[in-house]
Amino acid sequence: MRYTRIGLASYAIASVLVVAVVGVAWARSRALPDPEATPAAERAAEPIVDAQESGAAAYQSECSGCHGEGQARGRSIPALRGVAVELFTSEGGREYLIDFMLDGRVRSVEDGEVAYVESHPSYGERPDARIAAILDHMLVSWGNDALLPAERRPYSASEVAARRTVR
Amino acid sequence: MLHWRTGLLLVGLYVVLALVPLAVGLAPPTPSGRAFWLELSVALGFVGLGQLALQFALIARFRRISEPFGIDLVMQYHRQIGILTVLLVLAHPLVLIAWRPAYAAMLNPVADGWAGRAGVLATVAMVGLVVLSLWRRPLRLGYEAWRVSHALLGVAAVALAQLHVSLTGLYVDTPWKHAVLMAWSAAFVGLIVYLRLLKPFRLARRPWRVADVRPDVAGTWNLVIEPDGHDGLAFAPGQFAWLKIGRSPWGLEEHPFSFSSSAEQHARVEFGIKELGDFTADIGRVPVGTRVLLDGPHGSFSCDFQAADSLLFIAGGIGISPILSMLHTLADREDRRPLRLVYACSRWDRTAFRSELETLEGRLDLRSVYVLEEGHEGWTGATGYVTREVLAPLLAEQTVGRQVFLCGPDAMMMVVERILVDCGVPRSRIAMERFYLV
Repeated sequence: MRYTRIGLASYAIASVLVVAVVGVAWARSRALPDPEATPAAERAAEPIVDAQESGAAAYQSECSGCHGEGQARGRSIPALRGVAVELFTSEGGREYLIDFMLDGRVRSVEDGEVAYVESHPSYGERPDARIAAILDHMLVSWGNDALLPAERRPYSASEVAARRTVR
Repeated sequence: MLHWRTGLLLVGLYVVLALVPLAVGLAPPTPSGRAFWLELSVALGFVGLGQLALQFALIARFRRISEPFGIDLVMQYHRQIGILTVLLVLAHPLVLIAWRPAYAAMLNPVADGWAGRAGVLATVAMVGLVVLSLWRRPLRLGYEAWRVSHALLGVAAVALAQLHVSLTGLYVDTPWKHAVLMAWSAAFVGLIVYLRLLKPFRLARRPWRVADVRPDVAGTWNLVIEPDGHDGLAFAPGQFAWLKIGRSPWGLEEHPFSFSSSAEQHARVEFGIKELGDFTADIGRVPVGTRVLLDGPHGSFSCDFQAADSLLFIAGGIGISPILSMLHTLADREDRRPLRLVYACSRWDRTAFRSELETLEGRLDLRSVYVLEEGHEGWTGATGYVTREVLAPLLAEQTVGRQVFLCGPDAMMMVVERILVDCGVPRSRIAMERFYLV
């Protein structure tokens, strides 16, 4: 019985910790901007004061944990330095990168069958402007800009918003 | 009795400390919120790190921490919460993978970066800890080897988990957060450095020598030690000490033994030791004069910590040791309170310290009831286990201010505690201590 009580105590303490964990997760996920709450058109109109700077900041907090400064990490994380431009410049690459960020997966149609290739966490809950800013940041950082075609047009929030409906 | 206010305070402190890494992670600047499952996974990881580091405080033998509960209960808690912590830590990646299977790529130690690798290795170390502890005996891992593995895997788990957090860096991307978390982990790991390196150094300055190793009945020895160059040790009867016999102060071979001699004698202390395998099998061959380091006294199983008008002792096997110490002490103090002893053993010729108990019956108001698993020809006493029939008459005899002291194998203590409670003995009047800590 003495040990039963200690057993109960450890379950109680573990439960308190789990409740704290769930509470934190709930509070933090609530703080997300709700994509449903703001109409896409309105979101697209959100002004971006300095796309370059906000892209860098967004990249730092959202992406750098895994992608660092664009370098590869093992086989599962390819180098954004290089690969990003390669994808961007291939056919359909511009849209592919947006879809990839929104879905974290890419739709492929083979023999009429729709299949999804899971490969990346989804950032679909982020505002359009933030996704556009992150993509632009990635394309001009770590020497990627030197590889880009000169006439490249930056991503825009409305472009991202448009992909949300197309997919 | 449980000093419940201190106990509650310590439990509160424990919970707060367990949440420190999470609080540091969430302190601004914080990355923007993300999906629920992702945040849940991160929070689980941080709480896992908090718990993991706290385990070092539990095992560091701080008397202030263990006294309100009893050190065996602290160890029991360590064992239970350790398992729960590993489950929390396992949930940390599993939540992510269940939510988005692509995250499974992080688990590949060959392909993924060092952050992932450190996380995977930390988890492996923790699972290893639990497996080796739960199945130490079936795995035929000796106590010593287990202790070494436990300490090394524990330190490795905290270090790797901390590395995982630092390298992932999403929530600790400022220098002060890195610094605070690393200092926090290092402080707890430092406790084991204190326990294994600094404390032995202090103990080595107050060494003891083996004065005698006296055989009692088959398989039981009385280890007698005397202080070497100091005036000995004050302890409460029923307490125990960790002994390091004849090794370097920094060796890991160390065993908890209950004092069996009178607490009134500070300069010659004895321990009743039963050959149970491992180190205790060789106790009879320890030469006189061998140096002994004594870490103690520990434990709250003592008649000195309980106000009582009558005392009922219930011992199983070598659980008699701490009770013998209490009886010797009470005899030296010429205590006149009524004392009763129920002593369960396998066989009469394996019943240790019989002659000492006989002498004590002459000096105290003590009556002993022996219960043998296996009686022999001419044995008129009780056989089998300690039952309600054995205990009821003794409980009827002592009704005023009775305190029960129970020490024996786990299974016996569980059964006897149940009988006592069924007979109306309040739980607060039953003191227990288990002697197999692992």
